[in-house]
Amino acid sequence: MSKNKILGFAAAATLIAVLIVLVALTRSVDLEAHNRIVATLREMKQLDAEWNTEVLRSKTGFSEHYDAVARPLAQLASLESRLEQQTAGLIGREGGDAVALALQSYREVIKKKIDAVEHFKSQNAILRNSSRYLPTAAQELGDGITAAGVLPAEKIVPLLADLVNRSLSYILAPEQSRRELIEGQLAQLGRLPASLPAELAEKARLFASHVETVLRQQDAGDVILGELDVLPTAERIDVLSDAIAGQHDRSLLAQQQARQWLIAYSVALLLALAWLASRLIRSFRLLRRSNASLQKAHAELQESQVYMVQSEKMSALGQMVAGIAHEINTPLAYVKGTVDVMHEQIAGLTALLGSSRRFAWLMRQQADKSDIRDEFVKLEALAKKTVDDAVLEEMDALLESSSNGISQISEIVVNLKNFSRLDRAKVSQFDVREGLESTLLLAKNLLKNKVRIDKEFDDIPNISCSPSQINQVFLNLITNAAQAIPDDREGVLTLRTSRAGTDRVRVEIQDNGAGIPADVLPKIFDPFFTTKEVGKGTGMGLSISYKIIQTHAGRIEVDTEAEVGTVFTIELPVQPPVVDDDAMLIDDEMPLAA
Amino acid sequence: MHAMLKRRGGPAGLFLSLAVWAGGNAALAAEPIEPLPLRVELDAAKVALGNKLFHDKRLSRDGTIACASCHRLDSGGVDNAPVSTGIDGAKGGINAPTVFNAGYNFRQFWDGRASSLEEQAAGPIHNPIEMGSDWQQVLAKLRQDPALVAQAAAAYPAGLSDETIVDAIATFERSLVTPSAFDRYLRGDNSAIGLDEARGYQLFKNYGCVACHQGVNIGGNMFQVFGVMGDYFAKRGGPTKADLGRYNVTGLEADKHVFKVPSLRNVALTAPYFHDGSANTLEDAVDVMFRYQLGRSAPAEDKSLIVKFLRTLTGDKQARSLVATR
Repeated sequence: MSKNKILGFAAAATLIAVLIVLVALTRSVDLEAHNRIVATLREMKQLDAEWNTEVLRSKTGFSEHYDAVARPLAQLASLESRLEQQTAGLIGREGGDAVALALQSYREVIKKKIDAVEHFKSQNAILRNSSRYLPTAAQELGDGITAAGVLPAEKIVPLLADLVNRSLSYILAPEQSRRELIEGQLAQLGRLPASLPAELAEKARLFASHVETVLRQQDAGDVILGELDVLPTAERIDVLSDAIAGQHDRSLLAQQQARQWLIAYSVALLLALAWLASRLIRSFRLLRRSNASLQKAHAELQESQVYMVQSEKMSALGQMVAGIAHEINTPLAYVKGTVDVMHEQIAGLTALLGSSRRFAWLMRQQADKSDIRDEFVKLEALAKKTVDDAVLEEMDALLESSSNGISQISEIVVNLKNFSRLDRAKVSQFDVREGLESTLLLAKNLLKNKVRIDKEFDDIPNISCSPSQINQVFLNLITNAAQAIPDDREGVLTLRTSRAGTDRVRVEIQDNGAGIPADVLPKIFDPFFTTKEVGKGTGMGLSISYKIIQTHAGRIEVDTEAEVGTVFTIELPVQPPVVDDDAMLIDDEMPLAA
Repeated sequence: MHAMLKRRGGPAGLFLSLAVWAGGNAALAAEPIEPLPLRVELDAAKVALGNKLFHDKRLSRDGTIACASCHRLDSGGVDNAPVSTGIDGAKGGINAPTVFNAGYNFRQFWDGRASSLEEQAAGPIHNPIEMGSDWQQVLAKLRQDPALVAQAAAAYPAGLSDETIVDAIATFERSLVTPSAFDRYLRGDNSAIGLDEARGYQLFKNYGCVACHQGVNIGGNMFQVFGVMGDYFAKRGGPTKADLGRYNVTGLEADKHVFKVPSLRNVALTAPYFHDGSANTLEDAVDVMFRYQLGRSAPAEDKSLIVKFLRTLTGDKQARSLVATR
């Protein structure tokens, strides 16, 4: 994957992520959750009010037991933990601190309230116990004192009744003046025990202690109820409600903002998409246009390549024809010479034959002896001259020479056929060395008097290939090698064959020429690249060679050094993995030889 | 109340009008004690699991103590010892309260430090002189019991965990409800208890016991100072940390010697009495209460009637299951 692609994916992912975040933000406010919190808070407030009522009912004696005062504890705990769960999501968000703070201060005050209510219950129980006992205790004490005759009933009973009366009134209206009166009467009672029997003294002490308990517990109860009264549980719940509502409002505002952002973002995305689409359409058009022009260029190029290949073919053919013409010309001239000589000899032989015929005719006619003699002398002289000049021997020798010349020409033709292998199948078993030999013969004219050929042929197996194509490569390389050798130097062309591993054959074609300059080297296999003058080379030779070796699943390499020479190394598989006629498509476009 | 005052004769009329605040509301208000509910709705699978765990000694470090070791279901939900014996024979610091009807207590433990049975259940498991274990140990042991693990998974989606263990035990404990003859009496069956017992109940109210022992659990819904009208601890001697009661939880001076008022249900079965297990008999306990809480004396006959009443609070069948499958 290219860097641009990765960047593109990252950008797309980011855009989508932003979209998801914005959508999530617009859904962040759970109205139902908020309603549940509000309901819990309402329940808490309701419970708090009910609890206050229950405490007052206990205080005023309307409630006979404290179950109703104790029950809210569990309900408070469960409401608090429910609220904690419901608000857990709020804390940590914006405005969550205020909620946490309000919850904390509610907890503090409710804890104080729980403690106060507990103390109230304890206090109230004691108060009620003592107040309940006071009348009985007073009655028992009064009865006892009266019975014991310590004091007359009308003296002690009103005092005790007054104490009970005032103590119970103190519970209803704890006024300081009443308290002082009670304390005064208690002091009066306290002076009695000295004159009382032990049992009555204990009763008096108990009675006094219950009166004191009533006073003490009533005061303590007032303090506790005063505390309870000012404990701002309801206010704290309101503060908590406000904090939660405030946060809810903020969340709603944030949601609204997020919605606006989402709309803006969506519009921006749509615009971006539209822009991208228009760009895409434009570039698609551009692409189509350039594709069309490229196709045209490609067609033109193909056409010109066909032309170039054809031209290469013709140029190679021209070279070859020149070489072959020369090769054939030499024996031909020789044969012509001998034939001309023989033609000259024919006149002597014609005269001899004519004289022989005349002599024979004279003999048959029984002509004059003088005529016969004259003719005989003439014939004898002619025969003698023919024999003496060894005309027939000469002609025989000349015919033999002609025959040799003709044989040479014939050989050239055979090689030509071998080279092109027109008589064979496209793919066949081929001895590379044979191919090199034929190629050398065809290039003989180019190499003659200039290049010495060194052959270092190892024994190699036949390979399966298209012989005409491989020969074309050889001819191309050998021709190039010959042309690379400067005229002022004795050229050496070394041809080597060897095995490369078990299933490959290596051919090396080495010259001691000028070498290939470094700036040229990378381009030598490019089509149409040539160092020759315009019109002299097509620049297709090496490119075609490269293609041929490639289609044979082979390899062609070049190693060169300036002023030392160049070696082309070809490796070919004994059996190419795919011998496909289609793979050799180039064949049709190949020149017969270069 | 009125009848009693009249019976005693004398200048009762003098106090009659004044007694309206102290006791007169009895006519207007309901009884200070309410009967146990007739039905308790709980999840039977959780109750069964809790029952098993309640008796499971693997909850203790050395596998010798279960919840039921101290809260014996066959003897009033207590062990009848002044203090309980934990692992390695360690003696606890306080008398074990009964597990029966504990679900109706407003808080758990004598000092009320646990606000729920669930909170309470974890306490003894971690107490070094009770079960001396921890959840990691307990869970490691229990998870080797495939049957228990399967039972827990059937009762709870979460399966076996510290939370489900305490929930199951607490649920089981809520099923330990013990309706008694007195509950039937409260529901209007006047023959459910004898005349003496009924008189005992009247005395229980009149003497002011009911000021603290009231509500459905006859106690268990408030705290009270032990020694309202006299210094119990000075008299007894040998102060312990446990004697400080709720002070150990709140640190408030006012909470010194303050304890949860215990439920009187099944009280006849749960001797010895008080947080220190100092009273061996109900009579002793009633005497102490009169002396230090009510600050008054009473004829022995009245006390024995009150004790008779207290015996009607014993459940008909121990730990009768009132559980209706929900």
